[in-house]
Amino acid sequence: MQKEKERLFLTIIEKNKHSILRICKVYASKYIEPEDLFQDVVYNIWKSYTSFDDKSNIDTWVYRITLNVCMRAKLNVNKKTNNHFNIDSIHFNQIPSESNDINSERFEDLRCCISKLKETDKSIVLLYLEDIAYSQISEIIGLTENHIAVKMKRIKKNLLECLTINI
Amino acid sequence: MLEQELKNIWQNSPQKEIIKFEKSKLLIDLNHNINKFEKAIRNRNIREIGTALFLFAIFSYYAYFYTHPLAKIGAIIISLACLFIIYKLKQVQRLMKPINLTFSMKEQLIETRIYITNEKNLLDNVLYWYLLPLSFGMIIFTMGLNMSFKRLLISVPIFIVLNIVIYIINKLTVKKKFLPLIENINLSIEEMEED
Repeated sequence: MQKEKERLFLTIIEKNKHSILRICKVYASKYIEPEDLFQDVVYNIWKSYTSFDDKSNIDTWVYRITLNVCMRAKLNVNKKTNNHFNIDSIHFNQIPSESNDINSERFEDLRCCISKLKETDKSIVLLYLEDIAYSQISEIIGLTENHIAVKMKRIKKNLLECLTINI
Repeated sequence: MLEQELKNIWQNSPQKEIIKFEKSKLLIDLNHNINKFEKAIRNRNIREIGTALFLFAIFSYYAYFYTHPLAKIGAIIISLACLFIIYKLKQVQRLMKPINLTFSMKEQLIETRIYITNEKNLLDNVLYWYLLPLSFGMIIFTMGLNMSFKRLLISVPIFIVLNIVIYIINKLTVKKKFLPLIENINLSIEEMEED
């Protein structure tokens, strides 16, 4: 039973690692590196894993923890405890990349525009870009689906305006 | 730019790093961190309550054996203050459970606000549940000791100044740390609720 639980946890982390890191990169600041946030998220997923209800959607659950951890880091809730994880078994190996890579530029523009949004809008758009349905976004954020749809309309407009200026 | 294109840019973001897990070690590391964190909290609780218990034992002893009425009354006040501090700390430990991060973001922010407000109130009211009862007891107790008037004139003001410093430090922490944090959380909740 425990082995099965551990195996499932590792599968979930493996499957969602890139999405989690993408979100962490948006919430990282000069006080906390994306890699530290990532470790904090993995730690909290494992810590909360016993409370995971099989009926819930695992992705929704993972995103909920990811965004909550990132939001708390942003608000600086755990000033004393932040950044104290040292999980040596998670490695981030840098890949040398072309500096003028077009995809990189477009991604950086998008990330820059997202980081200018309000905190809640940022969370909503991140979930939207991860292709999460409005019903799930509503569950993760805690607002009604209609409210999310209204917000999304405005966020998309702001985002496109920002990207147009950048391009 | 099409919405799908934005999703593509996002999801196909060039990976600047490869994330690798040492699977056999990861769970050991995670459990180690959980234990470390829980142990730190347990130790903090033991330290806080242990100190109050220690003071309670010492001053109960004084209250029983000292003959001077003022020293006796002072020691009784301090012992009762220690019991009250233990009660207060226990109450706070019960109230301040770790925030459940599997809540929705809105619920989590509301819970965090409650948590931070409790923490803020504790420091904000430190004068009433910690400083005043202990100081009052201490001054009475000191007066009951067979000290010369000169020594009393030196020790009591030092004691009062020390308490004022503790009070100011707590007030500053509330002002600089907790109030901005509560304000930021309120702002995030407001932003979330607006259309």
